[in-house]
Amino acid sequence: MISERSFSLPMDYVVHGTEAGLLIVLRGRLDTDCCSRMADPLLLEIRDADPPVIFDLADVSFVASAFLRICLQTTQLLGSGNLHLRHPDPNIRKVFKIAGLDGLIHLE
Amino acid sequence: MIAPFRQTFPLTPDCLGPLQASVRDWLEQAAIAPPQAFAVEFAIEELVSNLQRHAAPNCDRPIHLELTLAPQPDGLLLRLVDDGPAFNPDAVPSPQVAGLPEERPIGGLGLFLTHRLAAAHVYLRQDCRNCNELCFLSDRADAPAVGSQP
Repeated sequence: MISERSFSLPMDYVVHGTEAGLLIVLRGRLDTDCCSRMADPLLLEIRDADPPVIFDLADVSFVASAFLRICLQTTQLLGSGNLHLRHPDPNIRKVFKIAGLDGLIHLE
Repeated sequence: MIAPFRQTFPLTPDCLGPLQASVRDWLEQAAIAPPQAFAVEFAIEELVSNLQRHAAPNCDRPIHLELTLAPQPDGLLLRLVDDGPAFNPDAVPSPQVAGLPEERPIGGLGLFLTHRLAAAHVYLRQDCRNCNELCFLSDRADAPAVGSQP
């Protein structure tokens, strides 16, 4: 199953239902404005999903703290260890570590 | 060395996008390394969005900001001045960064991460304005000065 949720550029995400879990491919700059538009529909999608949920960040160049909040809310919905961040940029990986989220979220 | 970036602008709900685009152009021209460029963009994002969320609703007049990015021999200095209500970011308690997910409150990470990504930060309340200064160091002590030609 593949469903798409697109917002105005430069942000959009695509949801893939896979056997390994729900794969959500994010793109562009996940800044405060983008995350505030994206949070509700994304969390709605996740609320109904069976864990794990995977965020693919290969095409994400920037995140604001608002995205870390979305990840924390996702972890609160799914439980510790059920959110995977795939291909985070080294700078993005660093902020997750400083925030202490690397103990709750798999950084791949 | 490249000239400092200086921009004065009113705080509006949509001021961040154009500001960050200008900042990215300047960071690229100044040949700032990706980790420092990311930290500078992150700091601007968090400081300005914090003002949008908390200062603007509590102020009955327009708020104006002045952003300066100044190359230094060993890194970069960011100065953000605003004429909004007094707000000392150091008075905000640090968020909980350990423990189970359900024990961690949502929020409070932005300023915490901004300060942790900087080598040093200082807040001043002067002439009825808030002044936040953050210093970002180059990765290597022997790195060429920011904005210098290779």
